[in-house]
Amino acid sequence: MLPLTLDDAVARADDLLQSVIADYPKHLETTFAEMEGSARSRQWMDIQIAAHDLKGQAATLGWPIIGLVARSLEAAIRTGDKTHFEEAVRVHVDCMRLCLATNIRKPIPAAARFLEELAALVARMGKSAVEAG
Amino acid sequence: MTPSGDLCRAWEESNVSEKAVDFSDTTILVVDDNQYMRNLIGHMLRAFGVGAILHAENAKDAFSKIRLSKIDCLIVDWLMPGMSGIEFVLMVRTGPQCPRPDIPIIFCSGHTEKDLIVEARDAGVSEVLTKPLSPQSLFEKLDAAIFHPRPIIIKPTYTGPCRRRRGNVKYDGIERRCDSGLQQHDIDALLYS
Repeated sequence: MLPLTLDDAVARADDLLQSVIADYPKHLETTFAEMEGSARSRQWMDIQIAAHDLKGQAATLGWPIIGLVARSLEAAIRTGDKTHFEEAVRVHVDCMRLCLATNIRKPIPAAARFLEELAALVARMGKSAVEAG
Repeated sequence: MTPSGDLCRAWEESNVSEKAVDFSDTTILVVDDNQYMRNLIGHMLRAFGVGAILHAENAKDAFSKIRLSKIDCLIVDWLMPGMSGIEFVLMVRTGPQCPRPDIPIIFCSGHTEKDLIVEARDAGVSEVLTKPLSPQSLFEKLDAAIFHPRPIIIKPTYTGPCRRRRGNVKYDGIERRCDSGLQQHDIDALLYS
């Protein structure tokens, strides 16, 4: 088997990753539920870390749009105002669930609109945080 | 461990392997608080034929594994609860309790802002791997870190790989910025400048 060329190694990795990729939607559902649980108990740092992890993972496993939404959520928690966190988590998680349920993996035009609205929400939260001092 | 001129020249002339490589004698420690990410990287490492794959979910666990095992390379996540990836790298490079300040470290991050990359470079990372990960990028970084390591510099102000530019890095002279952060080739250039 060894040594391996880059092409051989990538082909072997792609084969091995198939099962991980196939199971990923189940993992996403679990993560969304955990985020909602953390929001109920107001564990904002847990949500920020989960969103950060999701940002890198989802893009790696073929769901770049979920990675983008997770990035938006991470930014919302990092820069926003706590009074909006619950709403931000709900909106972002709903958006990610919708992408998963409809198998929208990449930022197609319809999904891009959601991303724009999320960006506007995060911007409002940031402004609100600045105004709150 | 300061490199001589000959050693630096030899290293600069070296290149990442274009031929087949054998990771079967290597031991790699993946340090990431996220179990799913550890498993994902573990799958890729198994596909590459890595001899032994160890996992640590935090810095404390990682240090105990570094003390107990002969680790050939660390793959470290940036954001971890408790000690961050950068703090961990600094501890490995300069901490009196760490037995292996010269161990190759691949720093894994979804953040590619220039400030963070400079911070990681100055902490002593060997390579930076940007997310999303791909088997190709991981394979190339492992090959570079394990089989083509840069000489380690130990000075009062810096411990880590020599930051002189490596011959195979294409550097345009300007480190470009973009809204979403640096691209992988910009990061590679920044690491060696």
